[in-house]
Amino acid sequence: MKSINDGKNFRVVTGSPRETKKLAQKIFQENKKELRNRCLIFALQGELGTGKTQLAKGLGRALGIKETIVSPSFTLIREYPFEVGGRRGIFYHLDAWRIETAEEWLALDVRGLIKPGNVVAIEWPEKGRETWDKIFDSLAVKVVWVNLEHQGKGERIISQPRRLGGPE
Amino acid sequence: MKREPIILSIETSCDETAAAVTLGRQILSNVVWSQIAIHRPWGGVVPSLAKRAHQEHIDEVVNTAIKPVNWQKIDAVAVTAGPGLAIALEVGIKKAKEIAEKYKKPLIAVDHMEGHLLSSLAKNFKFHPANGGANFKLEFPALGLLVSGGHTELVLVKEIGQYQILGQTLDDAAGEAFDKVAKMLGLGYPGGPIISQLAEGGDEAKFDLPVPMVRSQSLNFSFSGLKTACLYKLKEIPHKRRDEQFIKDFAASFQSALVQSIVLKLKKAIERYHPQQVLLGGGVINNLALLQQIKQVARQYQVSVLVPYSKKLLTDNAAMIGVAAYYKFKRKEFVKNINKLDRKPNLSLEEYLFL
Repeated sequence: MKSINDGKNFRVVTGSPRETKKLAQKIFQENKKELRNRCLIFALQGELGTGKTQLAKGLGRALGIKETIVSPSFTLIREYPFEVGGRRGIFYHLDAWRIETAEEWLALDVRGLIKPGNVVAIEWPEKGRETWDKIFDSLAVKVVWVNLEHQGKGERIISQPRRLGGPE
Repeated sequence: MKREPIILSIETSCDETAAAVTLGRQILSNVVWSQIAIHRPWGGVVPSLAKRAHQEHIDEVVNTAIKPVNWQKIDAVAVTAGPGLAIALEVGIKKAKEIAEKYKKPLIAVDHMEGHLLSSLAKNFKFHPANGGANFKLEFPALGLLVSGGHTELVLVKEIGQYQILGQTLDDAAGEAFDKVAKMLGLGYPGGPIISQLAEGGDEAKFDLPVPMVRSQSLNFSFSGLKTACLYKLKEIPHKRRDEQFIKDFAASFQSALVQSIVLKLKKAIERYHPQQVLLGGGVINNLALLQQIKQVARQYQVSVLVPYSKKLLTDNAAMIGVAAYYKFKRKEFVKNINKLDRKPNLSLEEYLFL
């Protein structure tokens, strides 16, 4: 795992799914304290095969979830109860690959999932970004935006743009 | 009761609004209203459309399914409780509760995957000859291989109702891999039938794609690595060089890697658990290349293979729910408190669904 510091963004190059999972655990630890009074949202942006589900698997591991975190592309939402540091919550893994607009999430009552103490990972949040922003702005959330890109030879560039959503 | 039970079953776990009437394992009606036509412009399922479509069609589908009998003749109502899309499951559960209460019938909650697992035990009105007709006997342990858009599972059937999941996908389901690679190739939805048709005219040795999980000793599946390998391979080839033959060769190469991976795990499972029979279920079993290879492996190990008697029983349908419900009826596994029955989007075959 190599870190690149360009002064603006937090950028890391991972060389395997395993490293991507490790990085996810690190990102979670950095934001864990937010769970006390907010819902922690990881918005995972990236093309097919960039490791979004791997990153979600890493989050699951950080949350002590024993179940296998699998792609939610077909079922759209998968949920996993967790207990971390004596705190109980639900990890929701959402995938908009089959969805065209974020309005569809409103029909799924996604607002009802976003509660303090819960963790939500969203794949393809760029689909209907405006609706997501509206949802995030009206609720107690901390949004961590994560971008995943291919970089040939099985490497991925994973970056966290500083402010792209949610208050710092 | 002298005759076998008559059960009305409802299934709305994802794209399909379905209802069926079964007499024992025999199918009297099997009505499926598919939402694929609605979803196609979006390249997938759109949930609010899914919910609205389920609500719009459920009455029509149920009323058509009931035609061979009348409401009073039904001995129980069965419904898929999960796994699936929560808001879609809700529509079927609500309807099943209404009918059960209105006609004072017991309610049976069924696991969607148990439906797929037992779908090959369904009989048509003459008995299914491929399954030994009236003399057919299920032998245990049996091995279930379920391959669909949302699931890829190897299940040990110790007895009907007693299951152990031996392996499942760690990331994408097989059907999902078909959909995603179809999308990369600029093809339509669902990807499975399109790719398998194109693959018939293609050279499967043309592209060297990795067979997933070859070295893994586990019985789990993984298709995300294959998906990524396809993506890398496609990046090397500019769009203008992708002619019809290229697409066919690529489809064939991808399909071959995916099929090999599934068959490899099936072999391992047969060697470890020595099943008497293999039960197949799920929409991806419609893929002929996969089915042929499964049959070949089964012959090699002298294990019989049970396949549902019609294609309609492989994709989501309510008749398979009726077959699973029939066994639950015989075990008297009815929902105790109808009001408490809730959707279970994450239900697993190892959970005991007796509510």
